[in-house]
Amino acid sequence: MSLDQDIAHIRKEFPILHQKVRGASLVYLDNAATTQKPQAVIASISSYYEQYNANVHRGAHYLANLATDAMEKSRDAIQHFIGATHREEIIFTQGTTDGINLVAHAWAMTHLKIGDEILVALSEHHANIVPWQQVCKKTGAILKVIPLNPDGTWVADWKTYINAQTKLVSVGWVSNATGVVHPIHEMVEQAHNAGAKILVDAAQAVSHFPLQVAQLNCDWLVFSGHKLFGPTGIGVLFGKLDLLNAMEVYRTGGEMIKKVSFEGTTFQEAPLKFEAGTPHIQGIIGLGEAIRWFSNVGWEWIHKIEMQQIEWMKSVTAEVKALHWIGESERKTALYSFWSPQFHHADLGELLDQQGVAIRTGHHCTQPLWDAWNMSGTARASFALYNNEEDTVQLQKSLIKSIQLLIG
Amino acid sequence: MSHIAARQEEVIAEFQMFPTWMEKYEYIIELGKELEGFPEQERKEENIISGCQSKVWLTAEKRENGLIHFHADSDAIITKGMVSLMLRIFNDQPGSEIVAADMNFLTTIGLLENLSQTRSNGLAAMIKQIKTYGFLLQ
Repeated sequence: MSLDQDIAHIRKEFPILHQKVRGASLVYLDNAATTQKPQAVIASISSYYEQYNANVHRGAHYLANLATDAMEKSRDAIQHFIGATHREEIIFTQGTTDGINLVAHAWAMTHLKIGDEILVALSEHHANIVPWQQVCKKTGAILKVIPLNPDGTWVADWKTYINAQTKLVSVGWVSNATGVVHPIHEMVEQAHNAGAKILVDAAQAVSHFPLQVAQLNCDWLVFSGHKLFGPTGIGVLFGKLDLLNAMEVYRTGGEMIKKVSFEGTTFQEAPLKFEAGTPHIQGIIGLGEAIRWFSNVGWEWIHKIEMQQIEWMKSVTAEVKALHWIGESERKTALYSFWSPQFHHADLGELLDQQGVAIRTGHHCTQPLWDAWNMSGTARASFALYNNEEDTVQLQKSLIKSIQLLIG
Repeated sequence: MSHIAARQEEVIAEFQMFPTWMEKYEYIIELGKELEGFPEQERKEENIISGCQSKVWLTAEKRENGLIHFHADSDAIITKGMVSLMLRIFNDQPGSEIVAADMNFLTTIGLLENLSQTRSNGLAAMIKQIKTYGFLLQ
């Protein structure tokens, strides 16, 4: 089958894509914000509620066992998918932001002291900046920042930002503002050589290439389920098992305890230690299904389609020269941030929306980057495996029409 | 009928001439380009209306005739067109009438249904600020 036929086949599995928006066929290019859900994921959530809704882990009945079993099978699927050594290394969170906050509170708050350094890059999402600022406020640690080249890559001497004071490196693998893929393998090695721990924000990486965390050897890695064709409100924190067990508890309450008494309470080991309260069961089941669905498509095909999308977009960026296209680095995902000194990105976004093209405009939660580049933000088109050539054609047409309207 | 209500009727009638989204936007963009110049010294943080994705500056003065005159600007042209439309309705009116005005025209001209939540919030913030000036300067 040809690539086009394959995409057509995939598109059939996403009910939401087949609709008109303001009279035009929907062109969904806001996948870096959230991806759409295949029928299999939607069905898995319905069937949980229709057939085996029950609270997990402690229930002494048939339905509770089914729900617990489905939840723990999702954990296994995730372990396998990201290449973790132990299933206990997979912690369910609310999402990427929640995972970073967990590490900030359960490790950094108690392990860092005055003068210690936390290293991030200029392009980090606010979720990978603000928790560390809070840690610095409490502990006296210092937040250091790797600057960027104009193409969005880290500056050539980024290694010099790691030193004996560096205790934690927390960096995004792929930038949500530029789509640039950063050299994470090298960073892990450098961080460990300096005796620092490293957290990888894989929110924008997880649907683009295999993470292979054990091989990568990072200490923690976080991502969100909804950017991987799963439901919102569910995410994953991977952590090395011995490190997870040595960390403090974060949220406390039901299920994460071993024994509660008024003289003192003891806690479970990972992962339950970090999963207080009734978990997001439908989200976990939906994410498990999303991973099974996605794995079934396979990395080989996913890579092929993304390379093809980048090819299609080459002609769009070449045709629409009135716009500045950011992040034209060699190693990038199919994510395109663009702007013009002549008009506001909000105007572009609004006019594209009128033509059924869904993109994102604004600061994309990376304000320090735009401040450094003296910009207010960009418009951003981001691709997923169901975006076909027609989507890029419509994007180009709508961009040209919008620019004509704006220039008048 | 108050002046403000009459002007709203005018705007509604005008927009009925534009059946397609493109024509409506073309007109809004045109209005944005025609908006009178904004005093440079007023382009400061405290005059920015928060709640808009693009920047909107708004100031008001009570003129000798007792009517309120607004100055506004935006760094986005569509927003600027919207602002221009607002000012056409509210400019040089007594504060009491501005406060009392019923803002029905936005829904009627068929622009609002096309607007994003962010844009609607921005417009609501703009109307609130116009009415606040109307109240303070009446």
